Amino acid sequence: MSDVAIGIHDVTKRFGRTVAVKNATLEISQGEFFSLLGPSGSGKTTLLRIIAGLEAPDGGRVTIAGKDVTDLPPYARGVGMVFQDFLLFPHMTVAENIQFPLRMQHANRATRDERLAWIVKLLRIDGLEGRFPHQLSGGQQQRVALARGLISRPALLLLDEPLANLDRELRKEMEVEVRRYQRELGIPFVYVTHNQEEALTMSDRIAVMRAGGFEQVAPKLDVYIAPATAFVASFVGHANRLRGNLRDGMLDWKGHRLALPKIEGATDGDAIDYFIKCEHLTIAPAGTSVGANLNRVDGTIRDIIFKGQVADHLVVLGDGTEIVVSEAASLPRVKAGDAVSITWAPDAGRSFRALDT
Amino acid sequence: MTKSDILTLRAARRFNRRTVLAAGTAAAAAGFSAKATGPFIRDAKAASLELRALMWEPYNVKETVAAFEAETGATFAPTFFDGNSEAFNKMKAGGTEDFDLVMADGHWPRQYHKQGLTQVTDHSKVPNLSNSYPVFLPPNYLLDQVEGGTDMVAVPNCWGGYGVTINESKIDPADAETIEVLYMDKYAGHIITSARFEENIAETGILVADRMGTKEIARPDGKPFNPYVLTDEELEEAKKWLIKQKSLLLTRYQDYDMVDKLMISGQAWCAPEWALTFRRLLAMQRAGELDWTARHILKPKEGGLGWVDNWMISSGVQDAEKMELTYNWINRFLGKDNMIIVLREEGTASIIDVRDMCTEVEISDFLLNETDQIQGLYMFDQPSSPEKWERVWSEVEAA
Amino acid sequence: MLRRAETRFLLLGLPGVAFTVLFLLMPIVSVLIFSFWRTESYEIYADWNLDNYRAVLTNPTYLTFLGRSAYTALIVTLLCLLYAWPVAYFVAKYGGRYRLLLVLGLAAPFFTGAVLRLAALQAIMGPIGFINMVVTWFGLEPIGFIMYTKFATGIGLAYLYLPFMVTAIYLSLLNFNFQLLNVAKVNGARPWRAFWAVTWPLNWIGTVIGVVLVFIPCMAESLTPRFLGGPDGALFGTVLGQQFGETGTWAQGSAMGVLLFVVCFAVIVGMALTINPRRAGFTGAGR
Repeated sequence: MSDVAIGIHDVTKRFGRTVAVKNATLEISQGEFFSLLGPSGSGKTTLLRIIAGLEAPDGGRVTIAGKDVTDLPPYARGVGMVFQDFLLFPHMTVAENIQFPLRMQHANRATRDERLAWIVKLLRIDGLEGRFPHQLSGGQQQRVALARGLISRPALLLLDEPLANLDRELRKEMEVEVRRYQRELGIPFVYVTHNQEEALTMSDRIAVMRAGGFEQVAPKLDVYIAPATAFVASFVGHANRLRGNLRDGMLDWKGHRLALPKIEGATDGDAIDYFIKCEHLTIAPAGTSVGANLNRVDGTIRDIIFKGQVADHLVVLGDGTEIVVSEAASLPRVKAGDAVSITWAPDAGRSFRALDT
Repeated sequence: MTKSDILTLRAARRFNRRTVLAAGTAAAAAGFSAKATGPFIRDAKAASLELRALMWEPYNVKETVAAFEAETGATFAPTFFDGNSEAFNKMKAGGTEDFDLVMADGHWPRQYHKQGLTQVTDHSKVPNLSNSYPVFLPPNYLLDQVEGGTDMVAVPNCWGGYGVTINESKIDPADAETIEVLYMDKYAGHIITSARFEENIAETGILVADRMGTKEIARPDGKPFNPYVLTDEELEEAKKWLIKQKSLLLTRYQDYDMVDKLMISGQAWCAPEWALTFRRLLAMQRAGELDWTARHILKPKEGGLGWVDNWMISSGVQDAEKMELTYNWINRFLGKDNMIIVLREEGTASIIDVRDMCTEVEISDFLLNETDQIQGLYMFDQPSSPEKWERVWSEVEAA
Repeated sequence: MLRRAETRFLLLGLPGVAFTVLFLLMPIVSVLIFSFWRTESYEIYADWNLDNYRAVLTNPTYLTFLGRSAYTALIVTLLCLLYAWPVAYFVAKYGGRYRLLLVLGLAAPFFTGAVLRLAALQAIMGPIGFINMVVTWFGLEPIGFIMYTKFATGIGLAYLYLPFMVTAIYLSLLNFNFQLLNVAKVNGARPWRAFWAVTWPLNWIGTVIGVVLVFIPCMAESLTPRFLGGPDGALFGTVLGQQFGETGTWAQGSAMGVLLFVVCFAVIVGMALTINPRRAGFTGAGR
């Protein structure tokens, strides 16, 4: 028996002339926390709904636990799902909402009560069983939705931006919790989000989607550190994009000559996008000597935006271009108005041939 | 909905005339207050040269009104009613001071006079009555006369019946002569009657009394047989007949359109009606649009129903000038010029002989050569007890 | 001296109060009073008595009419429910931008008067109507049992009141989140199960409103059975109307009216009791 929990094979879905998902092929392992990350319209939710059976693909197959479920209706797939707006049944109590999947499976009362006791404890919502959804806070509603998705011990859990409607603090807390449930239950979670932080926090692997296709499917660190495409590089993490032309193996960017990693097949004169993450830049007062093999540009600090452990330093170069540098906030070496030098190791960035303007 | 919605034909208004009030509780309240305070009655005493009439709307002939107003300089001020009892109630609620003339049919004039609402009329002041068929006047017709006396209390003007129209190709001619044709199994599903309770019960009452042999013997009230004054036994028997009849009926008609359609299409073979459909059938027959012959039996062998409309003078008319106006109007109304209009526009036959002004077709259609038949007809009346009749009718409908 | 707010309240409130008293309360009260009086030969006498109620409640005749009306109203309501739900559902879910137009179109029968509607029904179902024309066209015997039967009354009433039911359910479905059906399906509910577990209870209030809007007028209906129902079709409303119209027995008619009022009120209360505000799906209800 293979470790593959979900198989997506060459799945295509069109809405009219729009191709929502094109030729997607993917395998998700048992016990894996897998995120579909992408901007809105990238096809991630459609792909999730295809797995759930809420959309029928125009082509390709979907397998769950080795079984082809492409032609099965959603109620026969045995998956759990958590929706973006919680979508609790407003006319049912918390207990009834949570037990809904069990009732649909005609589970007996003892089983239902036993599972309910287990799941409310796991999700720490015990005591709320008799309430109605409108009597719950957003976080409580989200937990109830999760409990409903999990109570029948599905083969996998699909989550469609479940935290999007929660406030930031709660979201941070839930990110950790969701990850914990997944670990405890050991079933694959397929998590759709447009929020890269969420994806990076929780996932084992991430598929970055764009225009219906996969840009990169990789463990989350690879996606972060080694983006496979310019799109991934710009979408994941906070990076500065420096667009210039290749000249003698160096990047000619706004008059600066910058060293950069080698690009396969690129020749002199090609337009190049060079991405360098904000946290890979170092800031120093102007005139500080730097290593010879580092790239360096000079500018003036326009503002410093405090973000807790780090602060974004907005540096304006001579021609007005702005570069963002994330530095530890605890080092007040520089202040707004200071002339500074920005330096970085050329290998810290990723370079791609520019795809478009 | 109002009654006039149901009745599309102006001439069909007669169908509606005994309706006490429009349906609905509002009407009940209105009727009640009318009786108590008379809010609908205009204070008409102010105008001296005004002739105020409480009447059926179809008789408001504009040509005649114009001629009357031109000659006398008075104003004709009509108020319309929809049923005898409505008019009766208005007159009782102080209407004698508000109306100079009032109309009623059948037995009602005697009732009005008995209650002191109308006064004795002098037929000699209505010279146009000389053109009347004698059958509508004493000694042939006595209902306009004080009961047991010779004083006249009303002046007749129009008449009609409620005979049975039949499809001769379907109904055995022998059966057509009896009211029982409306209760015969062999015509099941092809009989229609009106939806009105009074005429249904009264007509059945004639048949029942005939069968029971109670028609010719002494009646409890000492008067001749009147199908609107039935004994409890007769009512009970009539109820049985009416219940039995239900299974034979195609339907009860609500308006003339329904009678027309059902008769013309051949779905209905016999229907008691005011001869309006019959006249249309005759017209079609003549135009070659009907491949069967229609017949109207005004008076079946057991007897039939009929009515004579009258003008009466309110007891409130005292001064000579006003009295003269009332007679002027009545006489003018009985003029042939007016009556031919009533016949042609309203589809109602007159008690005045207007045959010299009529076509052969009109003479035939309006039975102008058969006015003698009115003598054998039982006149429209109010049920002796609307409460009892209501119960009988409800029981028939619920059966 | 009234303060300004009070004056304004009175000015705003008085017309409504006056209207209610004049056109709603007065007739009801007058009917109630009449029902304890007596009529004799088209005259009403203020002799206080209970005979009208005795007659109406003990004579099987009037209870027969009431039973007929209730039965008819029930059948018609069920017919409307069965027909209106799919129609409203379809329009609400798939009507798209034509939704409003489609719903307004359902009200088309109301563009004409009651009489024209009845005439149209007669033209379709009558002995020489459209249906029989088609039937005879195919060389078959005309169908006699449609027109002038209780069946025809039922069809006529269903046709008449269907728009109320459709509109009530449609408006309810407009506020229904169809996503919940996906939730149910993913959680193992087959389509019908999902309907009964989610759609039906969450649109119960709208359905109840539709039921009341159809059932109550059907209980009181007089015109349709008169034109379509045939000799056996008299319903409570028909007979009630007769009391005021032809037989002039207003007092007894008033007692019938009061009885009808009580029955209808009981039906409304009964239907309202089926609504659990906490489970109606309205947030904010039943806190």
